[in-house]
Amino acid sequence: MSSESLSMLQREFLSGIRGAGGRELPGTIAQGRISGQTGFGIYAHAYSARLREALENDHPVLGSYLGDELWSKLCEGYISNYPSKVRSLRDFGASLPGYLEQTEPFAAHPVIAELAGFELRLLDSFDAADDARAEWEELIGLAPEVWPDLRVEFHPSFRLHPVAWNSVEIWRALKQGAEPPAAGAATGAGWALWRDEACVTRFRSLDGREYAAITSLQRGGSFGDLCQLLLAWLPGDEVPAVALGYLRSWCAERWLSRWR
Amino acid sequence: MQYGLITASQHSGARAPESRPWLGFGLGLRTEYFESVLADAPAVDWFEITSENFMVAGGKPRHYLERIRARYPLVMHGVSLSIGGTDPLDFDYLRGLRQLAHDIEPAWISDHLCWTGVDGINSHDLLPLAYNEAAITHVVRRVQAVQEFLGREILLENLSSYVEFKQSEMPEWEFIAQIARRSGCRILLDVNNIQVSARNHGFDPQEYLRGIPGDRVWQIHLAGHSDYGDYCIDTHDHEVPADVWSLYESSIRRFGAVSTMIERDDHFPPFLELVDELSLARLAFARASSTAMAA
Repeated sequence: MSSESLSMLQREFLSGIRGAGGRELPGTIAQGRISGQTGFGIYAHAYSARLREALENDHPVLGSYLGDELWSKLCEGYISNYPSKVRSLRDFGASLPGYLEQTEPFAAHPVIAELAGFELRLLDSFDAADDARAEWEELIGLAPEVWPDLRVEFHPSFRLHPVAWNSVEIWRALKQGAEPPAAGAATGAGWALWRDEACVTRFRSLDGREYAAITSLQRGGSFGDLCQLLLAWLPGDEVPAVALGYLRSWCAERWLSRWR
Repeated sequence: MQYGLITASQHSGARAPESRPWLGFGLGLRTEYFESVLADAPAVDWFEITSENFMVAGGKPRHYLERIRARYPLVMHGVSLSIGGTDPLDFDYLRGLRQLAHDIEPAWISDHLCWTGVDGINSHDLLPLAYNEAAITHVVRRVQAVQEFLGREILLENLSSYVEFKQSEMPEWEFIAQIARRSGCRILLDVNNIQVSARNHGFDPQEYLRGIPGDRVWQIHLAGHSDYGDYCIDTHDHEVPADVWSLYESSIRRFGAVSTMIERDDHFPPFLELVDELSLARLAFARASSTAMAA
């Protein structure tokens, strides 16, 4: 048996457990004490059950929002169309929001993909890298001349969740066991998610101005750029205080790791 | 960090190779038990982690791991090596594994004698190999590459299996023995898996034990399984059953003192119940050791 034969055996086996629920028995399977069909069926069942369990673990609220029938349809479709190419099950559902945006009946309700995206960002924040937290007292002590070029770095666990729908309100209601609100337009521009120093993942809403301010700094913008940006919302004499207020609040919420 | 491993023969009367480290009796470290491990300071000698669960950048998993490793020796047990796979070895994964080993200094690193996927598609399962010379040559070459990259021996665990291949030319135990001897790897002997596969394929588990080279066995897994009458499935969701305890005692009589742990991956009982179950392993070990000494 050559290396090519080993590959062929493995291809045939994997193809068999992925398709038709293991009903097509590869010719390489011997009949033993346990029938080949029964034994192979155990692998086929485990394949889909394991991937489905990964999706259930990552999207408990989405699952309860959709109900059993739609959730099963989602799992079957996603597992069939997006075979895992990742090493860890932790990442298996990474393409789920995109799948839901493009696939009916889910695509007709964009809040579903948005809800999936929120749960993925919670996961990303949960096990993102650790890093230092910037202290406001040190930041405020910087010389005035460095402020225009000051740039900040957000904590690795910090994520922005842009919203067009009330996905987070729906998530929160379901998480608390309450009746979710009807899907509707978002009231803010997005949500900030982060992991606090006790390793608890938190989130809060952002209006359009604050969302834009964060986005500008995340893209490498300076404090000067931030002030320039805020002129679209505020008269010039109010801009410095609002910009400083943002930095102070983000430091207090432990969103920032450092400045440079 | 050094844990001052002692050899098995220093610790028990059972015969064992002098070179085999002895950690005692351990449990799998599962997320569900993080808080209990820290709060209860249980009488567990060591913990086994699932490597992939901690190959993350930060957050709670690494936070707890750092605190737990300050109190207990750890070993790393992976599920993604795919040592029998025909896709190229994943050196990004191996770099992550090596980094984790650097960070937490495990007593050893193990994975499974299996393949997990092909053509880049991951089944996330531990799939069986055909037991033949071509597979041995293939696996030995990959084990040697992995051991060279990690700079240490690895342990490979026997699977529970539900099918046999027409291309197999030898029994499973001979397959494992050949790979261990030729590659220099060690064996993580899962006694429950032997019992499950023996039921499914109709071999004598004692013959299996007789075919395993004792000097290569460094760790034993114990676990429960689900019995469906005609066949068994390795589910890790029950307490260790009587037939596995019996086979464990046979293993200790044959191989001497081997660091032993209980795996539990579902239907999690309160943590202290698992610690109590571990005391059954100590008793079984003592019974088997005294029998071995008397013999």
